[in-house]
Amino acid sequence: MKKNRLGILGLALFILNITSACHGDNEDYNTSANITVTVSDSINVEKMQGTVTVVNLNNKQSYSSSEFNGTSTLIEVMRGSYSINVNGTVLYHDRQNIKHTKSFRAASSYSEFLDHPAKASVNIIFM
Amino acid sequence: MKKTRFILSLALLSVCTIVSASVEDTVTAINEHNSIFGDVLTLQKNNPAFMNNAYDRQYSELRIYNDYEKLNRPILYELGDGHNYTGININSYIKLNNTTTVWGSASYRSGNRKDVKWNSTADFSTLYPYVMGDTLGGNLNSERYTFSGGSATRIGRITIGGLLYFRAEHEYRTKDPRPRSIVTDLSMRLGVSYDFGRYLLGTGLGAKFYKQTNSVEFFKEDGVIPEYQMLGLGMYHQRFSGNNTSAYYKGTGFSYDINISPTKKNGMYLSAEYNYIPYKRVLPDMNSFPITTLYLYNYNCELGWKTVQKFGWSCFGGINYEKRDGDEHIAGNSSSGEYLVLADMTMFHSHKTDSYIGGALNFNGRSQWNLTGRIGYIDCASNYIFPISKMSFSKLYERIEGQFIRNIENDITLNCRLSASYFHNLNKDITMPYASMDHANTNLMEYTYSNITDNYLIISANVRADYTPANWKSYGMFIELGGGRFEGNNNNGNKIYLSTGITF
Repeated sequence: MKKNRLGILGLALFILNITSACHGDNEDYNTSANITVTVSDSINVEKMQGTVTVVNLNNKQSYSSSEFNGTSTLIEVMRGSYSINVNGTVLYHDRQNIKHTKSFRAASSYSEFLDHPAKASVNIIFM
Repeated sequence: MKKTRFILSLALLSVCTIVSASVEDTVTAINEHNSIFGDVLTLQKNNPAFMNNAYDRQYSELRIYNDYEKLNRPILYELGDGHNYTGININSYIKLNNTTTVWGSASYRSGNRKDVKWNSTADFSTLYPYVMGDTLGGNLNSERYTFSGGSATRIGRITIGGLLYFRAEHEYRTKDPRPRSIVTDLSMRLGVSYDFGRYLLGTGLGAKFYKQTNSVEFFKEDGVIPEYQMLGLGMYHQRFSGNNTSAYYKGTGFSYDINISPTKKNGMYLSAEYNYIPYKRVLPDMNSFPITTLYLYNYNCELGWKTVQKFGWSCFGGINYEKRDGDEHIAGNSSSGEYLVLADMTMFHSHKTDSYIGGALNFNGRSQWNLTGRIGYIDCASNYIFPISKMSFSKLYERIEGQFIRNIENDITLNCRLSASYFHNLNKDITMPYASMDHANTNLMEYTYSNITDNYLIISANVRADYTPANWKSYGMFIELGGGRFEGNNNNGNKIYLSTGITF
């Protein structure tokens, strides 16, 4: 009798195990991506404006933002791997306090936006 | 090909050597194994332990057939608009003694499916939406071999049974684009039942091992067209579609069932079955990167009552629920040609529910009359997470089938069947990101949606004549002719089935 009960218990546990060993949905879809345009220490940025475009390398979805907070912008994107392109204009003063206005671009062919939030940096290239 | 003929001959010879100890009442055995009333409430036969008393009489059949079907245009591009198959089947159910039953089958089928588009992968109905496809398509040739064998034996009040099933399939095209798919599918099942006197209670476990290799080649100088790695609802993998023309699929799954059925055929039947199998799609050209995983769940439950007498009847109800969840594996940067999986996202969901109630009548006099009917409700919905895409519909269906079996001469038995089914669409809905879809994908989705939400009528008729003269002892021969008509607003077509063979 004890053996029968143990057998039934073992069978019940096995059934529970196999029915629970199934797939749970992976629903962590989105994240906020903080993209920063890095400049050299000799430059003090007063105002940066432009457009940041990120393209998902897997599904080719693109997201854009033109709202800069300093040299950074925040975009809500789907998690994944992206290419980044930035085009814009920057107003800065150098160490001699002389003001300059220049066009710039910045790019990265591969960045991962997986964390919460995700961060990426691209180096400024003056045009 | 020679190897195939040798294996089939061996199988036929091995069945024939058992034959000398087989059917005494041949006509009754044929009628029992070909009765639509006998096919009601039979879900428990998936458990090999319940096959021990599935039939009262043993029966074996060798059949050669041709199955032709043609629609004016495909309902789904991926399944084509028809097929033409020729094949040979051997089935056998043998009671070795009072306690042990063995059964088995072997088959070979060859033919083609016509006008298949957006699908270069075999077993679309199993693997969708994760198939490879292109916009050109064409006819697909196929060869299929299946073998199965089972055994059940009773020891006291306990019956133990086992079943092995194997399928190998080869699908290919001989003009560009040239897909080639090779499938191997092995299933095994173990079952046990306990005789409580009036009822049998049983349970079973099964495992399934699936593999498919799939590739597309282009031999003409005209060039190539892109092969799309489909992701569901018209979406395809932008990064790995185009020049990636190879994929392989593998899956390992399990099944579980519980069954209650009466020992003497009269009484309550309850069956519940659960199947789970994940199918992984891997790209060998991207250093075996697993691009997607399809999680396929199936729940099947049926409850009913059956009375088997001179006037028999049955009433039943059931639910069949299928769920598909699709995970996409996000690829990182390739390092030394190897892509790492950065994250998994469940991007595709689909479910299909079939709920039904029905009944059956059986009258056994000089002739046997059978009538089965069923009313059901089908609900289907699919959705893709981003860009948001949805497609859903629901249908009400009615099905009625009648059968008449009679000995018209001492040694000729006539078996006639007539059936009609009507599917009426109740609701439908579609949401697609048309602004970001190209013309080919828009056409695919609009075409699929208009066909699957259509109303349609299916009628079929089948006549089989068995010739079993007394001096042939347990042998007989038969000829069977069937036809059907599919009638919808968008699609219509015909089906013809011809078969002949021997019974023993």
